[in-house]
Amino acid sequence: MSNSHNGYMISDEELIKGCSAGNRASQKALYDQYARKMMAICLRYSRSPAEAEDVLQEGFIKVFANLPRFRGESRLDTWMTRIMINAALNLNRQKLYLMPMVDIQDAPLHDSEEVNLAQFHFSELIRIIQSLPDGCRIIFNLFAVEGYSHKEIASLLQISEGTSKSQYNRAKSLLRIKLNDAGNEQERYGKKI
Amino acid sequence: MERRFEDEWRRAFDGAEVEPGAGTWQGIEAAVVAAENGVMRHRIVFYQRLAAASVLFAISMSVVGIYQWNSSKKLADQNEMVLHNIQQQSPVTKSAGGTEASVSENNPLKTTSKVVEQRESGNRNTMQPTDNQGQASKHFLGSSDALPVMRQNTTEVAAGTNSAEGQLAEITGTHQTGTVLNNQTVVEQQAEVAETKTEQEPPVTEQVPDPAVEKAQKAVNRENLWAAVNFAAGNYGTGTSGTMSYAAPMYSASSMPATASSRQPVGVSRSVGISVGKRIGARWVVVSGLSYLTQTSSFTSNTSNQGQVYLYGLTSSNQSSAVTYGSPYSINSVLEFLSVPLQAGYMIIDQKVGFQVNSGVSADFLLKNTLEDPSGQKSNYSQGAGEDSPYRSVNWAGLVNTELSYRIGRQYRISVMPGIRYFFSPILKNGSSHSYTADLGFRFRYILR
Repeated sequence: MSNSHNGYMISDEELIKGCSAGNRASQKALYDQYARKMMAICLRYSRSPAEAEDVLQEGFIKVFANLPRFRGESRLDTWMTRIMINAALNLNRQKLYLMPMVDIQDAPLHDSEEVNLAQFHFSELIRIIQSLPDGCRIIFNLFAVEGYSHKEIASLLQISEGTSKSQYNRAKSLLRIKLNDAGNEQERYGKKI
Repeated sequence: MERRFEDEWRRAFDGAEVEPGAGTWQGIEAAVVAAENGVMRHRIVFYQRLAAASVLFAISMSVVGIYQWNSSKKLADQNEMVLHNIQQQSPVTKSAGGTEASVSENNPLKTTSKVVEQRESGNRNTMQPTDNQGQASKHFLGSSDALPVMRQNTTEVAAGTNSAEGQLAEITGTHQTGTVLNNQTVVEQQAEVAETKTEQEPPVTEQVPDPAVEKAQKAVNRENLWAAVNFAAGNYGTGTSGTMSYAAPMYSASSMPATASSRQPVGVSRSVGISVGKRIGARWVVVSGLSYLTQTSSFTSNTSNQGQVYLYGLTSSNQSSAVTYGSPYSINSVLEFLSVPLQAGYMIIDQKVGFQVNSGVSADFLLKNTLEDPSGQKSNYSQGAGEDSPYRSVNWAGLVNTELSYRIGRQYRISVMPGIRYFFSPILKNGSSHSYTADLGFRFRYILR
């Protein structure tokens, strides 16, 4: 992948090399290239834009610190996404301890229901996700958007698989309610929120 | 199971981008700089601790060395006193006897046993009933040869010897009058004194080596003059913490004004050089030489002017309205010096393994200052010493280091030298902070014998 920075085309390899050498210009170029995408991810895991910026900041510091150890086994943005998620989880670690440890092994997973999100603006979807309780929000993001399995989530968050499933079900229920409310509001005002 | 719900959400967020706040990068940059400085500070702390440990070790070794030196000095003084007394007594011995006196002169302490033997034999002879007064007198004279030797060793013995001497005079008188009985009494007394001497005196001759010989041997083995090559690397600190406003030449060769930039308070120092050492005392050496010293530090700047990039600011009064602020970028500043150190060293341990503490001053002549763009997008810019340079042409620095060495064969010695260099004045003409380096050096000596 190549990036344009100050008129120069800089490849990911060059950015990695420059950042690994502690070159501030390369670090800035990397930030300029990926900050917006990473900010969108951070917003999903945070309760507010301010908290998302804290996560983004923490994530980029870790990216710069760990880039010399980046082996190129995955794409740079995939690797950075994982770092951002970890940064978000670390920031929310304290909250996760407060997550209700409902270990429902047989918690029924509702069959996937069709949902049309195209009618919603990105910012409205973010607002809805941010309104979820911390545990639900994180598990929903990990499972639904990032594609982690409940087993992986349980391992990552050091909770039981049952807790992960129940939290996800709760997130889904809440999201349906919130999406319905938002849809009704759209119909009422006749425009996309 | 179908995952339409999840897929829908994934699609909704796929490729989403949101512009972060304007101040986010500044926060990240500040944190990264702080982290880098923290790492460098840790390194400096390591060198500082190493230097402190060396100094502590040097002080401990000094205390032990001084104690041992005092002890050996006392012993040497005692030995010297004994030898002095012997030498004072030697003329008497010489005048009193022939062969015995010469033996006594060469190794007086050894003669004691011979004298005792002689006395015993004299005693035995005198115990024999004989009228050969000349022979008896000879034995008495033989005994009298030993008297000074006994006198020199212990007071008691000396007192005994004095009385024996007095009696010897009587013996002589007796000899003249031909009274053998008195002679026999005196000989018995002499034998008693000799026995006392034999019991009291340990074999001193084996315990006390000849100091003159030792001294001569040490002088031959001494490393009086040596030449060496040195290498050192370490941290270079500006004496401040955090970033600071800094004045330095512009990146561009044009005369356009520049603006303030920030400088990281730590860098890397390296030196290579040659040195010569000369012993000027039993434990003192003087060391001088010539070194090429580089000090590299990193700067961050966010200033530019009409497309031209400037690294450092001069003063705020010189700032131009044409200067604009852009993305921060890194610049390396490399200072090159020709250094002439002069140090005095005190050798705490002067053996195969050596340990010494060096202290002195160094005159560091600025050769040039080079500004490098690590990204390689800009060409390097160098500026020599002089009026245009913001750096002083000559800097004086204090040097303190410890040197732990090991002699290899007769001609070579390798050393490890942790040390500190502190600049007495700021290297910048309008600067206020004193720079310092904490480095670890290596020295390879060739000993000139």
